Amino acid sequence: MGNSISDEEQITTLYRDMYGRMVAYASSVLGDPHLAEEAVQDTFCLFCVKADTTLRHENPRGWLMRTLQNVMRNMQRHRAAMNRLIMRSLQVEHLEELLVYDEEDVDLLYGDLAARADFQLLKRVVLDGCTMLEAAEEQGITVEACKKRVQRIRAYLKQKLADF
Amino acid sequence: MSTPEPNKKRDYSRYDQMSTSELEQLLRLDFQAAERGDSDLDAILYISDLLAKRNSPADTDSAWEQFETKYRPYAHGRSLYDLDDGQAPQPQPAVPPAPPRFRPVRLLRRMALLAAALIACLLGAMAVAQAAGVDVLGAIARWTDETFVFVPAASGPPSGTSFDEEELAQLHASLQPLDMEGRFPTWYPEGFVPGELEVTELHSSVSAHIVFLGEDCVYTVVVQHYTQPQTNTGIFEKDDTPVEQYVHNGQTFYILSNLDSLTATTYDGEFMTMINGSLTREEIKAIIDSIPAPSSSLEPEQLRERLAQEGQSLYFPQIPEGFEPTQSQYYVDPITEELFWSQLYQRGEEFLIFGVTKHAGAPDNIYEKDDTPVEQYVYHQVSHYIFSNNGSTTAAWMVGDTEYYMFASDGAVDMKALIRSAYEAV
Repeated sequence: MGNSISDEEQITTLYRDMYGRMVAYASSVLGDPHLAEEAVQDTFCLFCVKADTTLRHENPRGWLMRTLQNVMRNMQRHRAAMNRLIMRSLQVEHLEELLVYDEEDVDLLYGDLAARADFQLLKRVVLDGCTMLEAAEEQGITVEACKKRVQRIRAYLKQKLADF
Repeated sequence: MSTPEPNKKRDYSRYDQMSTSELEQLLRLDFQAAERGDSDLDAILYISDLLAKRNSPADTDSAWEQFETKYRPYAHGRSLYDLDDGQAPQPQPAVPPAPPRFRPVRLLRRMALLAAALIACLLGAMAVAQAAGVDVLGAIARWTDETFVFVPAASGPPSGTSFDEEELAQLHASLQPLDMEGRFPTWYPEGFVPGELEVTELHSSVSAHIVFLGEDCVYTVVVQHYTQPQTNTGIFEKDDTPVEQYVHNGQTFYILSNLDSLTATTYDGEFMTMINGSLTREEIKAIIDSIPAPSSSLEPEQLRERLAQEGQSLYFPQIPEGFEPTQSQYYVDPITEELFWSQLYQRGEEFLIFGVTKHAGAPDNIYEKDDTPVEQYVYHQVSHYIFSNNGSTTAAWMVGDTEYYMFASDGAVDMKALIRSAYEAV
């Protein structure tokens, strides 16, 4: 128990020490302070989940910076891929017909509404440059739910557009 | 600052003197290099720390609260942007080894040179290229790690078709309500057929695009008008081919390669243009070149009035007889509000360029020169620096936050007399 409190203190100290410079770095690379902040928060989430090892890493600050690079690269790659997906979707003649989830899934009884809402969410995140948190808060959902909905529409569009 | 592995043998103080934009450029270039494992984490931390100190301080308390309430509770070991299926391999984190203690800094130094070369293309090299009779609009910027030059584009333009008058009129009629007329290319490569103009209205932007269909390939032109201020306009996927900058009408297009396609994009703070598809570099440049020149230009008198509004005089030289104005460049950076203006004059084979840059921050124009000494010429209590560059003479000086420069072919003008003339009319 004592050890976990100590870990928490270490995390807080590290966060306060590194946050500003990590955001400065990420802003330079990504060109957007909001996305930069999200990349840094995401990096610290990964750090905390693996705190047992990361805190005892010989160079935790180096770990954070290297992981931030990986997070940003991942972010850029997926956002670019989703951008292409949206562009391809917008070129489909009857987009509204495409945007209907398979109704066999009980969660998606209103498949058309869900798909359109998810598509709007995807556009907010990719075309409008919103962070996952910004898009999530607009919808009154958590970042995790937002991620799942983006994942869902992304997988769906990838599958559907493969048929075109 | 505290670095992860303090090492007194390494001196990063050279970064202290660099401008914020240069440091940011270095970080971006390092980020590209980091994919190949070349990143110098100690240097990156030092530079990031410098930038953090120069910026307004981060609100760490709010960030921490947001982290604790909105991100961390949902953390489960995968990045928010790791959107692949659960079975997909984890893209991160890669646990790094401790930074090497005696890592050579050559890479970052080379990057510093490259950053400087990129900045040089703003005015110096571009103006020289124009002056040398090379049409910038038909020239290609080429650089290696050490050099930056303009060379003429491949002989003859790629073959293609311009929109006919009826098509153009139709296109303009559709684009005018969107304030996008004059932003679309008017030429397309042979073998492509333009589709219909499609307009999509989104939450904070309106985009108009045309798909050009070829026999077995396609490319798209998209113009996106951001109706709300944006700090991010999307991310482009690219391979490891270096990004090329191509200047047209004072706007820099970034040409990115991604496997078998090219993307050219430019953004002026409000409008973003993207040309993407299976195109050659020559074709994509020819498409860019067909975007009409902006109708806005600024006559010297208008420039004088504009500077006067800010309490500044314009020191305009007496252009020698026989020189006729030809090309003019005028651009105001929508973000920094820096003003760039230049005018090319020609008299037969001789040229003269007079230009003004009204800086918003520290001056960062870089001029090319040869290895002959720089002459300092003091007149009107202002230091003017005169130097040569392989067949041309340059003079540059600062008045307040405004930078003046002149390029002339050797022997075309008496540079000192020209400088003196600038103060006579004021």
